[in-house]
Amino acid sequence: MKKRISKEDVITFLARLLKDYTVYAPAKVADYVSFREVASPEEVVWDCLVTRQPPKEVFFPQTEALFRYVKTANGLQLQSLETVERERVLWGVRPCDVQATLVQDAVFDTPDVRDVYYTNKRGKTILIGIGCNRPLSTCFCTSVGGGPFKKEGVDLFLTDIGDSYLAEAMTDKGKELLKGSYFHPATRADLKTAKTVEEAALKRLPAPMDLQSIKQHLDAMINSLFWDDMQATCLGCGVCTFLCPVCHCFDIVDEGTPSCGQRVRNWDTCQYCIYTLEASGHNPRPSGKERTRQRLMHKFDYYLINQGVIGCVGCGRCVQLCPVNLDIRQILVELGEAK
Amino acid sequence: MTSTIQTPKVLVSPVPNPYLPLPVRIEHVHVETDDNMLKTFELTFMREEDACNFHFRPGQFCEVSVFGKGEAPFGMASSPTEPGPLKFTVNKTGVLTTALHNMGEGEILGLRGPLGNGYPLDTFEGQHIVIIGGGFAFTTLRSLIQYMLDPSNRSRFQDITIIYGARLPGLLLYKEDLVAWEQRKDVSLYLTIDREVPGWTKLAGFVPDVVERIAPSSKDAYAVICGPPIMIRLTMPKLTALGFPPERIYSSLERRMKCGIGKCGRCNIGPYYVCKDGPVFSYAQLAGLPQEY
Repeated sequence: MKKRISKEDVITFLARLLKDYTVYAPAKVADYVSFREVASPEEVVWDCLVTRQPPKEVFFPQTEALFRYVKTANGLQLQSLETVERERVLWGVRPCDVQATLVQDAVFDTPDVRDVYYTNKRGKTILIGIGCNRPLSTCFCTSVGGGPFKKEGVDLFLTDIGDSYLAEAMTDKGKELLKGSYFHPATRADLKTAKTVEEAALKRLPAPMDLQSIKQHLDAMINSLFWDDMQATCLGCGVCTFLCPVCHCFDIVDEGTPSCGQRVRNWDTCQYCIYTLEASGHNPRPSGKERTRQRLMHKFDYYLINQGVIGCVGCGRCVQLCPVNLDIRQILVELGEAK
Repeated sequence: MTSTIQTPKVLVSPVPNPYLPLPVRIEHVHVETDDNMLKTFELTFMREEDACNFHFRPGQFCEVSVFGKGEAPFGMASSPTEPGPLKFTVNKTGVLTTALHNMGEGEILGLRGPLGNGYPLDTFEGQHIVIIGGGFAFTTLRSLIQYMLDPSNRSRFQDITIIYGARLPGLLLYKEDLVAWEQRKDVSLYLTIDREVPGWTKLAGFVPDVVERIAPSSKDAYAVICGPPIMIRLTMPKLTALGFPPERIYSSLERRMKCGIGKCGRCNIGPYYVCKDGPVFSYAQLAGLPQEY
């Protein structure tokens, strides 16, 4: 189902959503734009293509208390903090970040174990996606199986067609949203404009990569000297993983005393020495070589084996923000030439 | 600490929350080694239903909560065939294990598990089993041995050979069990220490050399090896020379872990998570993967 909504009405639509839902949208956080809870449509930044932090924070906060514990004179009390009361809307999420959310679903919501902290938030969230009319020079979603107008995974998808958006419902929840009076039937001209916009966006993006051959190459490269060369410039700062919309690693720590406190999980990164450091002093990944190898192998090899998809969606955040300009696209090209 | 312990209140949702530990009480603490670095903690569930619902296999592990310090994974040293408390033998190494060593009877811990795959008992059935252990990596091997030696299971396995080494006699774990196993006719037990000391009547020498000397047959046999990396590295070629192929050599691996359920990411070896796909692996499974263990 496709409808159109004017850019003035979309503000009204969002204001209406804010009455019923907690809304997360791209908005100013300090000097940059990230997803956060907004209180009014005015807070939303409409023209930011790739937010500094991905929206994974909405389902998997950087710091999250799992439960509180209290030891009393006669026992132990645990209070889990997994419940999510209010329905949520994730507004203005880009196709690459939606794809990343689908990968995280496959990690956190497996048939054997459900990570209730993640799945409770995810299950109560409506995704309203928006296409990317002018992909950035760092974007490469089309290389890794995505696209600037890929609609899979969202409830409602918006395409900017000038003075209006073309709105397409992808799920029943999305269809429900389209019942609002500010949505009007799309005209043939609207659909044509949307097609033109999509084609123009695609022209700005690179060609698909052969992901299977990258995987096969990686399988044979475990002891390659390539990893020594690659890690030579890496500072091990971990920004590529913290800002990656797919990366899901976390640490679990207790905050408090033996008698009361809380158990907390925090984002963690495979790029840190301490990540795998054991209490004995043994570290199975002692240097940057093993750690950079882990990052690449996980994304382009192990994810394919375990989740059936790769762990990179081409958002380009790691390319934009690496302090030493390591470029994962370039690394993948060099991989193909390495021995 | 606490004299009367009532049933604790745990607020949980209908969907099981894999991160919530079950409350357990320290029933007994036993010092295992002369250097006081290894203690066995006997834990009982504080709620009857948790005890009833807890079923594990030798080789599986739990995340033990020391509240205020966090969680760490420990393999069950007791066998599911043994009645009574769960046993965990803990080496005093870091912040959490030091705090645990300072705790005593009656104190409350948390337990999540059982986690991991455990030893492949069905695969072992009808076969000769050669168990090779070194140092304090003997805990889940004890569980496996006690399981196989239980009257209800003993006939399922053929010859059981145990080669167990420590630096000094006083550093061997489970001394009472060793005496009991030695007296049994259906077990071949070889104990060794690094160098001879006065009063020691058993073998002397490193585990790899003892394996070579005893030369257990690889025919219809599986080897299970747990110990320090150097011991494993030097024993592997001996086992290969005896004719054990990689798919018939199993080990239980250790890695730093947090979630224990394959979510937090840190314990992977290639595509396997040690917590979820392990901790027990055959060397055939590990071939061709980064040696990150």
